[in-house]
Amino acid sequence: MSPPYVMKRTDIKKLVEAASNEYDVFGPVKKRSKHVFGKIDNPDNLVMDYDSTILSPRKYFQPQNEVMMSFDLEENKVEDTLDELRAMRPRLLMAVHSCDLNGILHLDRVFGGEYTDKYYFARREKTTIVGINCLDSCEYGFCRSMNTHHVVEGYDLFLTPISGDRYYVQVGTAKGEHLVHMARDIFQEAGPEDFGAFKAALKHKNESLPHEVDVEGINEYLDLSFHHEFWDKMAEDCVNCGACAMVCPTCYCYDVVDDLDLSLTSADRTRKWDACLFQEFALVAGGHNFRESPAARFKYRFYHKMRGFAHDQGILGCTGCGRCTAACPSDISIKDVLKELSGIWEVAPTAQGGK
Amino acid sequence: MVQLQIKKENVYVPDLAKLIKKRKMTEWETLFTFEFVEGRMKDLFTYKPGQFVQLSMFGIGEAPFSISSSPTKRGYLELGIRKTGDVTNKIHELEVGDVVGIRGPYGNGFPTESLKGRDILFVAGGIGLVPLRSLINYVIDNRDDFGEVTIFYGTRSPDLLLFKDELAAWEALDDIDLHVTVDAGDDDWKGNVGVVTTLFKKKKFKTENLSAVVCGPPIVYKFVVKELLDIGVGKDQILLSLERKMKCGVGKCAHCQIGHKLTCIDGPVFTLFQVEQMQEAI
Repeated sequence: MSPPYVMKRTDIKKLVEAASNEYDVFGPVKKRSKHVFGKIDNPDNLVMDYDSTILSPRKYFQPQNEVMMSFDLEENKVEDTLDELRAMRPRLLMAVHSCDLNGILHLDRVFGGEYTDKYYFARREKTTIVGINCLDSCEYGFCRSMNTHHVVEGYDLFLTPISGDRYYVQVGTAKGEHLVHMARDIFQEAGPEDFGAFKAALKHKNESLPHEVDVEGINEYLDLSFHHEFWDKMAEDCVNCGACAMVCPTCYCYDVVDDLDLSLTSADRTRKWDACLFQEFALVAGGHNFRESPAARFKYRFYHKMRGFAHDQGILGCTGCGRCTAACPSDISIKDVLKELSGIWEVAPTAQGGK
Repeated sequence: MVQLQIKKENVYVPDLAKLIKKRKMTEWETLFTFEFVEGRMKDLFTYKPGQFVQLSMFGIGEAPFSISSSPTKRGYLELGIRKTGDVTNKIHELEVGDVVGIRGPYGNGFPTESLKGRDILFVAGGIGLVPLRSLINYVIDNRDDFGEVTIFYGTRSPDLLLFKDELAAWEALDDIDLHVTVDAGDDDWKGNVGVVTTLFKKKKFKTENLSAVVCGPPIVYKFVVKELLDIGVGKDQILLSLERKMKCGVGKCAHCQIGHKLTCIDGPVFTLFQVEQMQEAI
């Protein structure tokens, strides 16, 4: 492990200023009563101590709309946008919470593997991430229940607020070390006393973050309740708007559309965020819809995150960031759904046996 | 069979392919034969029966299609396509010489190695014959590797029968037992009438060495599976090729997710045993 540093919290501005020579800087900024991740042109606008943001930082790695390639219909030529993407200016993404760092690690799994998604990783490689430790709980989050209130990787630098208005700075990668060297004079190597302050901060976090939802054995109670009327009851409120999926740090579904130019001689292929809540999500040509009812789609979203993704990837597909609850127009709370589910133990047809 | 993998810089970029033949099969379905524009692709592009490709109509969109030709025939690719949406309507307007984009092959395909030495019952409903035809012709071209072969094919009416010439050719083979049925006949129809499951009354199977390969519209699976279980075929020997909406074909867009499986990379061929682990698969 690289040796840690300490820095004054007010020196974050200096870091952003120094980094601006090399990076486009992004981070949490105020937007009316909430916060969003946005471009930091003035370091004064960066908010390090924020509750949550409307959208997760996923948008920097998988944008809402992304042109993947263009077609020249006269010459029958296909040209992708990867070179353009790789020529983009490096980005610095500031103040990413642990829940969201874990969200990015989820996306790394999805877009990696045998068929690596080069668009995603071009953006990922171009981005340096400064994470920040949350020592207190936020309004809708339940990160501790999902075990995402800490990180072992996914950051380049990781800041923990410690006593004396300072940050304890952990260096995760060479990219992080490079950033330190851009403003070397604001970082001091951490000493034994700083380590003590870091421990005190972690102790505070340990005492303050609530453990609200019990997801141990969630696979068992999801299997038991697949045919439970609970889902129909919940789905009565769900309007299938997809807001939960749009704000989610681990949702990655996308649709692909071709846009033909008016001249009919060229076209773009664009991918766009999609949501499994939408009626056409599982609709195939010919008219068969594999998830016709709104209730089926509502249920599917939970089962994919909490059962399917976990089965496939070994981790639950939820970081407990609470954004879906904040965004839901029907006030459906994921915490409540999980709590109610964990209370369902009466005999019902099981998911695997029941048809 | 060794599969050459085409290592591509960007998995989403299709290769150019030219339409070299167009054969109308019914009012709705046409068999399209493509060959890659780039010469080296003819050697590089190898596939297994049961795999699929993503076909691009530039400016209209991309959609997944099962490969209907057998890999034993090299150098071209046959896709049997029904006219049923924006992309497929446009495909039907293609003329010989026109260029499209093709990428793949994707999916697991049928387990040709583990099927070796086994008796095989093919059950195709309607357009389900398109992917099965790849394996049927593969089996015919490697006939000594397989045991008894039976084909049950059912469709709605005689005018909707696909691959009519080939059905006649299979019928003429001594070592292929073909049974065709239609839901409703017409004046000229002298064959079986009834849904595809009625064909199970036509034949007694020895099931200890029998594998069944099934493809059809969603309604077919439940009823065919019931018949297969009734005659004693093992759940791991019932192979189902599933259809789902797909956008990427490579496990990213999540449209084809069923339970913990992705139809595009874990499937589209699943055993009944696997299907029972996947909620709402059939």
